[in-house]
Amino acid sequence: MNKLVNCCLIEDNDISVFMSKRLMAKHPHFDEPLVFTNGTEAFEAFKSYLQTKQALPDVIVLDLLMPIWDGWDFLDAISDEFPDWSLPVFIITSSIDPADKKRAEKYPSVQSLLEKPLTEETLDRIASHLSKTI
Amino acid sequence: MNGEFVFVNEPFEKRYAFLGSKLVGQSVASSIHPEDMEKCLNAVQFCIDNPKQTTSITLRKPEKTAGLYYSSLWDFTLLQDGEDQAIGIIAIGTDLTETEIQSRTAKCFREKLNNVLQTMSEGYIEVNRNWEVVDLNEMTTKLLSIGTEKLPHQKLHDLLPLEQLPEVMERLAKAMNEPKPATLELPYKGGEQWFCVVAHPSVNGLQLYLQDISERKEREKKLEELLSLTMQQNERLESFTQIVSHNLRSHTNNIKLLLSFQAQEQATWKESELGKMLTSASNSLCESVTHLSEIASMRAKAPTQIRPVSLNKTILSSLESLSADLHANDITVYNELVEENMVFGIPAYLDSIVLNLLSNAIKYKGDKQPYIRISSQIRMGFVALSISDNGLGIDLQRHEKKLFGMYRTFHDHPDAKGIGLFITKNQVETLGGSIQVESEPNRGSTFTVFLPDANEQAR
Repeated sequence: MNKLVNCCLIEDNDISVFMSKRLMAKHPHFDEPLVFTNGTEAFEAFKSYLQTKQALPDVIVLDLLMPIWDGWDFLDAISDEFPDWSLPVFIITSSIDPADKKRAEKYPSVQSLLEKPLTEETLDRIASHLSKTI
Repeated sequence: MNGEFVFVNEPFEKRYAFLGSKLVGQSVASSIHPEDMEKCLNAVQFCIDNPKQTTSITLRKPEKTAGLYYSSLWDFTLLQDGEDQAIGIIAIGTDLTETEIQSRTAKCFREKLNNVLQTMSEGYIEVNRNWEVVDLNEMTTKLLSIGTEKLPHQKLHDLLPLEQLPEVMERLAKAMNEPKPATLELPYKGGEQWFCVVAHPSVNGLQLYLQDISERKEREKKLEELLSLTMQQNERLESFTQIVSHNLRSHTNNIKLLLSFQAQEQATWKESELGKMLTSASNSLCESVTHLSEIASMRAKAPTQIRPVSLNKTILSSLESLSADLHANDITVYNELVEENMVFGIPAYLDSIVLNLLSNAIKYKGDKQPYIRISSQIRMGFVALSISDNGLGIDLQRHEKKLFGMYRTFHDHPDAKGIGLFITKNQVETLGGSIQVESEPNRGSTFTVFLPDANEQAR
């Protein structure tokens, strides 16, 4: 992979954001991430990117538990608003609940559920997944 | 008209043969029981007074055998000649002996039945097809706490609160009409008392047997309340563990990762005493939280994944994975499982149960010729798997209650974490089994796990 992965991180927890940013900074394939701290904020940003035809990030890493709009709200909103949405989404959660996994399967953009916190290995997985699909 | 037989038919002659062979000409009196003579003469007088009418009387034969009177029903009519002159009496008889015996037996039976009904400990009510109470026993009046004075001509719903219980009434009517016996439970005095009612259809209506089940109902009610309370508490506890394990997990994982960042940045910090201790504490915390979430997820897993599993294969694979340890500690294993044992279980749980018990036996081995003995028995629908050792043992008098508790250790052993038996017990119970222990310090321990027998299922 020549180009660095441009990741959009939707996550409200400061510590998690800090750790993810740091991991990506040290990782050979990741660029500095774009961060939103809740679902609404991220949705509004994507809406304007698409309207103004700006470049989009390569992947979204989405937390589930967030204030205002949680991860599910964000997923619902993008699938309602943008039927042609093709950006891959990875969900990060602190315990993988089978019910969450089942629910995630309903969204075609969701690639898989990853356990929190992100680690170097999870970043490797995301990178290799993207190199196969891009 | 002088009291002699003028004609007898053949059946009469046979039945009254004891009076002699020639009956015609003999006195009628000889064929009648002395005590019935007056009744007979009255009947004759009636016939003379009412020439066109017939009168019926029951007469007994003057027989003394067995104290039983053979009786017959006689229709007496006055016999007249052409000028309406009385010339005699025609008596036509029907033998009543059989009928009489039957009615006596029935009476006797009825009396016995009445005795039983009166003295039995169940209430008894008989109703006719119009739901009128025909009969009831003393027990019924006691059970319903009613007086006996106003009983006759009452309807069933005057005794029992059937108007408020249409579904009970419907079932009783069904029992009467189908006819098919029915058993039902009936509240009385607004649920203060409860009866079990067995309804038997009879020729005339319905027989009801009442049993007081108030105490049982009371116990059932208390049990139900207790059960719902326990379920509520369980649910609360489960959601609590879910939340705790979920929230703790994210924080502990964060701390672990942050510490690793710190270690990467400052090699000296990593090697410092504080650095080492923080890292070790954080690792232990992560491990505990992992155990906790494992236990919390147990309940949710259980029912769907239980299936027949081979206990023998589980044990063989555990022994194989422990073979290095067994060899290093010079432990002899006596595997006495001969026949294939199938139990209902979740493979991962069985592996964990067996592995934990075996590694405990290794961990707490004694000094002299250590061994582990594995045997099984089938007892009342359970396979009892016993794992014995001659190791350190446990002082059960002191520790029995705490043995399967969380974070309990009973030996000063570096690997003792105090979580193993707690998880084992939880797993065994999730599979519907139980675990027992026998032990003596310095003699050894035997852990017996009872698991639901699946041998029938597997065949």
